[in-house]
Amino acid sequence: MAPGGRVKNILIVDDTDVIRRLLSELLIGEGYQVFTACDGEEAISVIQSESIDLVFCDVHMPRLNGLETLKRSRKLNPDLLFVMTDSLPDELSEAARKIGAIDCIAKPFDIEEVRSIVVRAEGFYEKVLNAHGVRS
Amino acid sequence: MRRLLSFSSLRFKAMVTISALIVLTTSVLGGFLFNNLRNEMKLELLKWGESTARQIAHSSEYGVLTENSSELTNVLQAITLHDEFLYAVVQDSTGRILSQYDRLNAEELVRWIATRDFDQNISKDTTTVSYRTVPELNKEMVEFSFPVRTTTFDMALEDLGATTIDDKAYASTSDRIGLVRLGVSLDGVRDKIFSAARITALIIFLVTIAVIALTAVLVNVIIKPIDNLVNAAEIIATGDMSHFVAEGSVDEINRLARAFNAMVRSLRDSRDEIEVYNRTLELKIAERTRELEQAQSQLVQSEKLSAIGQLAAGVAHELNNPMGGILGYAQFALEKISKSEPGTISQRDLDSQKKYLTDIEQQARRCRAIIKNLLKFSRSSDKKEWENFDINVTLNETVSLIQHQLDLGNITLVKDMADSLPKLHGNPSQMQQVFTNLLLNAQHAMSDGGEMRLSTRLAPRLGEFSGCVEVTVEDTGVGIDESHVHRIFEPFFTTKDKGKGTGLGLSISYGIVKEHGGDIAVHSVVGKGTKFTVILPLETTASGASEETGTQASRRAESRLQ
Ligand SMILES: Nc1ncnc2c1ncn2[C@@H]1O[C@H](COP(=O)(O)OP(=O)(O)OP(=O)(O)O)[C@@H](O)[C@H]1O
Ligand SMILES: [Mg+2]
Repeated sequence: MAPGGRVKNILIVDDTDVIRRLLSELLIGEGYQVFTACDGEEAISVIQSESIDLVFCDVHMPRLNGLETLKRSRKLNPDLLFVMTDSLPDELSEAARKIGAIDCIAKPFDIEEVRSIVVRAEGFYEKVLNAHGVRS
Repeated sequence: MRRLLSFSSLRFKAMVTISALIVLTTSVLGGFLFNNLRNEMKLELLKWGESTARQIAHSSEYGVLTENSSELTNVLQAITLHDEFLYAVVQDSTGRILSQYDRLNAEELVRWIATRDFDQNISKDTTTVSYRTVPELNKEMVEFSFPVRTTTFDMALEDLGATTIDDKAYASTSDRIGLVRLGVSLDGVRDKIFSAARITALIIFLVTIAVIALTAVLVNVIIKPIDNLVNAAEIIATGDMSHFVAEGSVDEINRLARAFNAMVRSLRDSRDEIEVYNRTLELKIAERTRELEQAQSQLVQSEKLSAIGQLAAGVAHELNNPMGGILGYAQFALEKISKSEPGTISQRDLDSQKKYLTDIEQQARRCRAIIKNLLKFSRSSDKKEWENFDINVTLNETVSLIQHQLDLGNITLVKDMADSLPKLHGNPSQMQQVFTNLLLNAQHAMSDGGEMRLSTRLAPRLGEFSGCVEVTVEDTGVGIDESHVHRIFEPFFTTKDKGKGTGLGLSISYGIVKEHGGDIAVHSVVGKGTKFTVILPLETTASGASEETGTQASRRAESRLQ
């Protein structure tokens, strides 16, 4: 479970302080480099300045909401992996997946759930890199 | 036909007018003809009498010259054949009667007649005509007199060379040797004239009758279809649409009748249509009403559902964040405990355990706050518990509760309360809740301190309210972003940190004010400050006016006068 994979830098976007802290603590404990942002605008600027591999993004946020953040981020970096976190009804998860989220987790989530999602993201990352390798 | 006797009917008027015209024209024409005939007859009589008198005078020349009576009687014999000749007299130049014929055997009378106008008549060149009534005989007559002249003497005079007018005049008077008088009775002419008049009158009468009869027929031809139309119209006016008019042969009337029938047909059709429509209208209205009611109830239902759904989503969302914290930190704590060796808990582990538990406690408190606020929604205020209260008192109580916080936040509160406001009817503790929310919001907007202004006043008639109390809460804080203004009354809308605001304050306040029949308005300038205005009507329900002040009473009297 150690970050022997390619995913190194994870960005956590949430307007709720306790969620940011919880996820940070969890992922730092797993050995990742963690960045945080309070809303979409902040997230975009972090994505621009840091080389982020995976984003945990809340949907309901002031200023720029989660889905908009996802769209704009993928324009900046199409390979960026997104996991949406929210009290997500099924339709919203569907919409998020359509525009490129690899997964969605509904709040309140189990910490194990988060861990397994990171593992899955590693797998996705491999595929993406391979795809690039084939192409180039 | 039943209209025939009515004096106002068209038929009667036409008949009377046409008859009068016919009688008048035939009378005038007849009168004219009759007059003509009479004049003609008179003229004929005159001519006849005149020529007869002249003839007798010519034939008498020799008889008079010779004074031979039997010769003259022979001459007069010619006229005895005619009844009209009443008498004939031949006189010599002295007036002596030489011969006479007297049909009436009134010798005295004839002798008397012979003396009249003798000199005058004998001097005339032409026939003298004079109308006479002979009372003794009770007869009207005309007398023709003509002088008897000698032609031989005439010629002798011309031989003498008498050419001057005087000579001729002398000759004219001097050749008179006698006078013939002829009396003609007018009886015959009278009779003829009378019979002519009778015939004329008869003709006039017959023509009049015939023409009137003809007119009657003609009038009938024209009037009868009109009569039929009128009768039909009367029947149709009673609502019987099954009646039609026989379409006759007179062209114009026929067209009218056709038009009339067409009109009746379309009238009947449209009446039938209206009847059908009327019959179905009620059903349709009932149906539509049912549909509308259904649609409305569906709408209300769906609106309710969507409101509930929104609230549920909001509640879920709001609770899920702290719940996420609670769940996560609890799982962390459990993991740590299960990993550590039994009996050997390090200080580091204890510290992190404490941190987790603190977070859990905080988040649980957060959940409690949300739930507590939510319950305020469910607590619909019971109007039976409403009371009359002084809004100024309520506001002062509210201020005293948060005064300490305001002081800490370096905020000056300025109160501007109107004296002796009329009492309001409602739930004062709910009102306290409303103004606590507004005052705390104002305080939060001024994190660096500032001035807060709380004022009340009696507002004039506003909208449907006959009078109301206006409470304003003003701050010099950050203001509300324009894109947020329309959202601030939504449940869970907040710009505050998740730990600080639930976003329920204004939505709860709005609900309470609305329940009291009032309204909240907001005016804000970013960077300058915000002003909330709460309007509360003096009268919300009839029971609200149970303890009214003088102002209210007079206000109501005013509104009743309007
Ligand atoms: N006086 C004010 N000045 C500036 N913004 C205000 C003011 N009052 C309300 N707001 C805005 O309206 C939002 C909603 O207010 P509301 O009272 O409903 O919730 P809250 O204050 O955020 O949360 P809570 O009332 O539960 O503490 C606030 O978050 C704030 O952005
Ligand atoms: Mg508030």
